[in-house]
Amino acid sequence: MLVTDVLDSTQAAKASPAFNQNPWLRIGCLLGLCAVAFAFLAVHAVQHGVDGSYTAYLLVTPVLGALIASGIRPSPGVGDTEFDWIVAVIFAAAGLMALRMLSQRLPALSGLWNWHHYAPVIFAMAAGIILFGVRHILRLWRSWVFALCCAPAMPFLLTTSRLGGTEDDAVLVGAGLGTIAVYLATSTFGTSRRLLAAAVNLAVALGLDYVLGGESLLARKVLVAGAVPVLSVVAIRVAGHLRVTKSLAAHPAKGTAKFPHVGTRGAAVLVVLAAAMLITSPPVSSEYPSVTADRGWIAQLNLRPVREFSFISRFLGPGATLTRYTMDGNPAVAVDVIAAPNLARLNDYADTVWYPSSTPLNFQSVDLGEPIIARSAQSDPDSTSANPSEHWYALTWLWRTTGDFQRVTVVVNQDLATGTPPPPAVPITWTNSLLQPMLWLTRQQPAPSGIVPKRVIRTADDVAQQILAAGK
Amino acid sequence: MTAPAARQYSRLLPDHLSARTALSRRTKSLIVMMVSLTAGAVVAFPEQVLPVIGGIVTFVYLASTIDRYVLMISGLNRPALLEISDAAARAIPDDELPVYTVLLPVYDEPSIIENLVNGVCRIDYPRERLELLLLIEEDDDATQQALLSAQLRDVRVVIVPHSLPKTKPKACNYGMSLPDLRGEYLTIYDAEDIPEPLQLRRAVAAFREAPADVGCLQAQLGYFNEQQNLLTRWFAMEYAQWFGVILPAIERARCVVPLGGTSNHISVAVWREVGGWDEFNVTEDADLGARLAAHGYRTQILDSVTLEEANSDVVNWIRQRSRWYKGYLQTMIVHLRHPIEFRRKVGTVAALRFLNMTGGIPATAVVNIMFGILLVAWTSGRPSLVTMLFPPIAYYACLVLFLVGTPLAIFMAFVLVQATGKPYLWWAALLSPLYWVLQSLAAFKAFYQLAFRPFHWEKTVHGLGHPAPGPATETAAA
Repeated sequence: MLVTDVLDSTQAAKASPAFNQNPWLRIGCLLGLCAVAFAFLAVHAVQHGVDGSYTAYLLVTPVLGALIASGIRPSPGVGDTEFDWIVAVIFAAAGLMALRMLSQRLPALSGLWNWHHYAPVIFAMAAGIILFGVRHILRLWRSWVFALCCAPAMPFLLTTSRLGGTEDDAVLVGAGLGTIAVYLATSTFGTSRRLLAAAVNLAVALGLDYVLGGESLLARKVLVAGAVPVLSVVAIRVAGHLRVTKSLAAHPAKGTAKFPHVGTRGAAVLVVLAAAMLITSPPVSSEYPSVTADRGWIAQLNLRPVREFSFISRFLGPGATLTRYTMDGNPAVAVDVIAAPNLARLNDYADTVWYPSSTPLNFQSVDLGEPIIARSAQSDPDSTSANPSEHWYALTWLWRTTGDFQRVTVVVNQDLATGTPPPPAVPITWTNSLLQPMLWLTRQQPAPSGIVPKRVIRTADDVAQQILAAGK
Repeated sequence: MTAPAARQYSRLLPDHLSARTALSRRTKSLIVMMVSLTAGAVVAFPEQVLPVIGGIVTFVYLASTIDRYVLMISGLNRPALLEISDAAARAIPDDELPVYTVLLPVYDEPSIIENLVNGVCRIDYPRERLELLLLIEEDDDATQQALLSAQLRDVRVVIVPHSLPKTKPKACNYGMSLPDLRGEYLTIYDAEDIPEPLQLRRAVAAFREAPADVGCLQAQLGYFNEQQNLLTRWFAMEYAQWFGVILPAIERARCVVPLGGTSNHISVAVWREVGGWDEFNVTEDADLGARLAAHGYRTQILDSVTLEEANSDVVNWIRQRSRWYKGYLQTMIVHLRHPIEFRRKVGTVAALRFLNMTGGIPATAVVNIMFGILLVAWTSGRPSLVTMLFPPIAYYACLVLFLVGTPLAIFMAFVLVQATGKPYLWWAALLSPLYWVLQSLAAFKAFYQLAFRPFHWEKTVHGLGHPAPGPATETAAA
């Protein structure tokens, strides 16, 4: 009876219609599966891009990844469908599980680095293993490295900020990204030709952006990071194909490797898994201010500006400011206000903790009364510090005023008795936003459990209530 | 060429010793029920059940690891290979040599002729006392076509009629059922094998010198393309460990020796007595070793090397290895049907070690990757599930296994490659934890196939390696 089972399953596999061998069709199917599985994320990315976020390049990343992948032909070698499924299941399960756990453990860091963007990459790799086989997916390592570098968005944002943080800088970085994609997508050509193609692509992209210009950052990015690189790669491949065709005519190939057979049942399982991902994914949304504050709330409270942090415009773009205000009679309390004309760019950094800490921090929800949505964060008072009075407690929320959006943060020094002002805001860097938290994670430290004195929390709460009252 | 026989040859092996009925529907239902009950208990009483599961798995894993280290140290300290000198091998006059039957099962091997000429046909044994049977499946057109133009004087081509299961042991059993065979001893080689030319003579001499209870001689297996890539280096290192250290240590401890796939030399009378090969077992060699032990026969490791082609392609390797692991599981299940009887026949230590060396290998490989996933989970999110799974004793045992066991395994691999005269494999030894990952993936496939395609013979594709060297110098005994 078991022998018959074997026969039946073998015959069933052979009887099911074979999936087309066209690589573009398979790439299209893969992108389609990802679009279904992460529809919420895709819609949010589009909306965020339309609103003017510097992360708009994410919209063209899948296309660039596919472009890079399409240049790699399958290699001959032994294939095994069962092995493909086993690797795909283990990889997806372990990857998504680790991602979910990390995000739950370090939600602020996860939000800042957009770790949830890795889920589509993991899903694409796993589904790609089924559609292309493990061997081919490993050969597409350039695509995956590219996707893994692009997905978190923060490398792009940090690079843009290093250049100055203007829209032009963001477009330049986008053009650079497209250029890298062109270089990677032409791996079948010689190095000199690839470098030439990449250089021409960069020049054409920046030239077209200069000529066509335009107000929409999204349109400019789609042009320099998407359309131009695609056309560049198509052009060089067409030119190369003509040469290859002549060469093949003289020396025909002995045979071509094939992608694995994907039967109806396998395809159906992939669709079901994509649908399951969609159903289990929470909708992605940006923080939108539910309160419009009176523009004169600062003057009404008689807050005194004591310091401007100019670095903020490198992150949030021209026109953004970060000002520290103090209140009379309480030097240990400060009110930091980030004002930005563009909400999307403000939301790019929604999970950023702008104050120094030796451990990765998380935000907690704080009830300041409807409809304000406030969060708090604090440095760990039990952690070792050269200066114990540097520990702080922050209460923050987002609202809008006529003309801009403001993130208001009440920062209180945890050592109220000394009257020392809370530490100043610091710009985020690779070191303090990624390297140090990762090192902390590898040290397997327990979660910070230090308790902030109630007096400190009460002070921050009082100040916040005063500000909210003034803003009404 | 011998045409497919219309007759149905009779199987020697009784059903209860065959993997054919290893996993019946009833057994499968029982396993599903037990797994469901355990899962239910985990859901209902996680704080009580999970520590028990974690503790048991850790204890078994630890015991299995320690046993393998004990064997390896024992094998390194006191090599136990059966050595027959060239002079002793040649001392037996040709007319006193017994007839030797050599089985060459092949499937879809169109390059067979070149392989045979380079390998098996160079065996130093009188041709009139050698029966070379080339076993070809009836539907294997590629190999049959390749043979049409060949002039193989000493090789008898046997067409194996189509029937299920289509496995190597089925073909070999069919070959051995031919009525006119004269062989006193028999052995199996793969088509691409390059046996050391004096191997048959050494085996005959060894059988003459050996005690009466030695029923089988297993020659060592090595690779002619071991330096082709990292995978072949790992494979070569593993084979050097298995055939050069572990198996001799097992034999000296009077435990069950799982035979290698080829180059096992056995008296035909003994082969018939123990029931031949199990056609439904995809590692019929390991199973035969267990039955030899159960019948009171020992298997010694002969110091003569057969060179094979190491698998140089990862996916191909996974297919081959998953078949081996599936076969180990089949073998374990078959002999555990009557565990008390098996223990009575081979002894308690040998029975436990047999479990460790058959089903224990894929089982620990799966546990390896599960532990890896749990480590990732713990590092990522510190889930309470992991805390519950590892009560303090299990936790510290696993910590020692991870922090001490892993470097120790790498160190042992360094010692091994040095001791077996292959120091150039040092970097494969250094990277051996990556090989464990491949083993784990193969083990997953083996478990899956055991449940859903138990008798499927995962064909290993040959000819992916570098061409085999000429045997004149390279195949000398190690």
